[in-house]
Amino acid sequence: MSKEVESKIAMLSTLVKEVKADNLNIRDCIDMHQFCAFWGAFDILNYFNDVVILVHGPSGCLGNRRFLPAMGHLGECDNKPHLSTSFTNREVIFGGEKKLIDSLNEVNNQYNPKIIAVLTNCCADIIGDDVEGCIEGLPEEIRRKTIYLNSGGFSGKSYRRGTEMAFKLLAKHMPMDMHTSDKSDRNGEQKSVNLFLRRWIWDQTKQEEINEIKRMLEMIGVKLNKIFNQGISIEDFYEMQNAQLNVALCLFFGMGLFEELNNKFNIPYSKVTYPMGLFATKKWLNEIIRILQLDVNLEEIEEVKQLEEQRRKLVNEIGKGRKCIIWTQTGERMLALVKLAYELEMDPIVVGVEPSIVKDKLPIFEKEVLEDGLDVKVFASKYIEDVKGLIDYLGDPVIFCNNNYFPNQTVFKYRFAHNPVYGFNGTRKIYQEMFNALKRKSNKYSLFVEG
Amino acid sequence: MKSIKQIAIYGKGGIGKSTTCSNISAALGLMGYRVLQIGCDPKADSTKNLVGGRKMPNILDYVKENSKDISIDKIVTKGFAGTYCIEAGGPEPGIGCAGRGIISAIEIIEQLNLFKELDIEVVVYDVLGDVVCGGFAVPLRMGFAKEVYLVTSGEVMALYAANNIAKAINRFGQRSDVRLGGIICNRRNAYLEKEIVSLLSDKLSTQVIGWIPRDNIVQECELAEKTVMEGSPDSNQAQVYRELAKSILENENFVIPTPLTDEEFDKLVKEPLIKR
Repeated sequence: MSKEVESKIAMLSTLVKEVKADNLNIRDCIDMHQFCAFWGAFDILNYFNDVVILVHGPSGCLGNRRFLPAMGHLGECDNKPHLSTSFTNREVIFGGEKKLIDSLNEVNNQYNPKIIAVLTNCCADIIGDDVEGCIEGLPEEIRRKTIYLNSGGFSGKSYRRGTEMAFKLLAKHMPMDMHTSDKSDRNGEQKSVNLFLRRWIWDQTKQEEINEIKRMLEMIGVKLNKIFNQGISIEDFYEMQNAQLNVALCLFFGMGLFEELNNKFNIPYSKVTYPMGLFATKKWLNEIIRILQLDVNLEEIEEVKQLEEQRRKLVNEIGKGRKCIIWTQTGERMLALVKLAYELEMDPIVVGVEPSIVKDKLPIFEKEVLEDGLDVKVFASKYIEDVKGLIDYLGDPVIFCNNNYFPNQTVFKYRFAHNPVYGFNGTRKIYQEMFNALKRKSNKYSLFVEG
Repeated sequence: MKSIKQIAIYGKGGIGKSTTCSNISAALGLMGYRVLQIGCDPKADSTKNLVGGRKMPNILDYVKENSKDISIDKIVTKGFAGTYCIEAGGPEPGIGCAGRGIISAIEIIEQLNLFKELDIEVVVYDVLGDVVCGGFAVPLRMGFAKEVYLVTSGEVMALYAANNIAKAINRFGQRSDVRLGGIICNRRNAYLEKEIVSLLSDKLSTQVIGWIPRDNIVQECELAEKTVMEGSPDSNQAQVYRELAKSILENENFVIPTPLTDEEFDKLVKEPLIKR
């Protein structure tokens, strides 16, 4: 058994190098990054409360985007207008340009939004409707507030490219004269940052995370300028140009916006992301301190000292060098959990790594693994029988997992979507949950095995 | 159920498909067959010489108006020699999707159960220029027309289009009973025309089923908005169309064509010249 287990273990750096060199025959997997550019673009433009999106094409694509985000909210309805030119066979054959023009006039009359964003889907792009030409022919009042993207055309798994296209479009229409003060006069002012939140998070958890980021920024003397958050107004978005730095809780998506703000307004961005755990949070804050040239020493802060004390206790409780298995979705969270395991002086091994997502998120893996030297063992199987074999082989590992798949094991079960994880408060909560996990074995029932 | 002979005529734009189709339909009508000609071209002028130049309503006009009221009598016009005429229609140039239009038109014809209702014996599909997209392959793909004829002259581009269409027939022929019935050479008196067209026919493993000579009588009749069969029934040209229609009816030589690669095609069009 041990030989069989060992034969499935390799280093993450090897995998990243092989993916980068295109040496692997990688099969697609199902995750949101496999979706299309239209979805990505729609999701970004749908952040705004005063941008009305008009989807040019059949209405099915709109329907999918309309209902999915609403499913994540607790007690909150999505009351925004969701509009489509609603192609029928007639528009496909004869073209939908007239319908687009009529719809734009109607949208303007009915909603009078600050911005109308036209997004085409595959059908409109394939028949080649001239969206730009239609907009050019509109009266000045509508034309100046209408932006558009050709986001269709069967571009395959291009969700992130869609988000980048939307950011580019928004940045293009961002006026240059929204500075509330001249950059040269800002030396005496409190410095400020824009924040890109992690995605797919709602309600109270989100608010707690925002509060924590604000609190930590205040701790180092930095003001939070604007948050790229659901419900942002276009005015707030324009005012993002007033910050001195952009920071993200999820850089993978935030990077598209940050690149644009950097190109257009010369605002740098921090490449340190996912401040989860004490070390990662300190690194995240220290990078802000470094870029903004602040005179702050985090080690002198009482809260940091207390957390360091807690960390030491937790390491003793876990046992130095204890094996742990990390089973989560491939990406920044996986890397953050690896860092957390190292912070707690454990010996981690990651299960269920999807090479196709490593490929999709290669810039993140290149930076973290190949440039910054973060490495970890990976177990090349995601079958439950194999993982059980790995658990037996490792003895009594701590298992980082989001559900009760492993009866009678020590499972650190932390639901990231429903718990604040970032910053010092997040660290405190994570540590507490780890203490709790160590005190009790998971119950004998499993989602996989009744027993 | 009575079997209906359905033939599709393909070829390069402007090569004379509509003229050929109309005269074949007229000839068959005069022989006593119940013939339906379907123009699958956004220009919607395939059957105009059968109906005396009258502007006919086309199927997609009804789609455009979102009309639920499509009936056989609204889209079918009776033409010369008892022929029935339908135009699929389509969008204006540079807009929409003409291929999708053809698909819709064919679907509507099917829904109306038109062949049975009109007791049609022969259907002639006159399909736009080339198989530029899936829509124009629909008479083949949906299993309507099992017999395909290619109209060409001895000019290179017309031959090239014919070879391209043969590629489509080859593809569909692998999985259905669509077959190539032969080449119709609508002569333009191009240099070495007969040799080159015969050579292409051999290479495609088919036959030249008809040679249509160039004759001004065709233009004269068209100016009078008539087919040759109607405008000059005793002419030699009318006799050519009559024989062609008969050959098509009696044809039993159907093949899955063996189209040439582009390199082979380039070589083919030069071969008669080199030999000479």
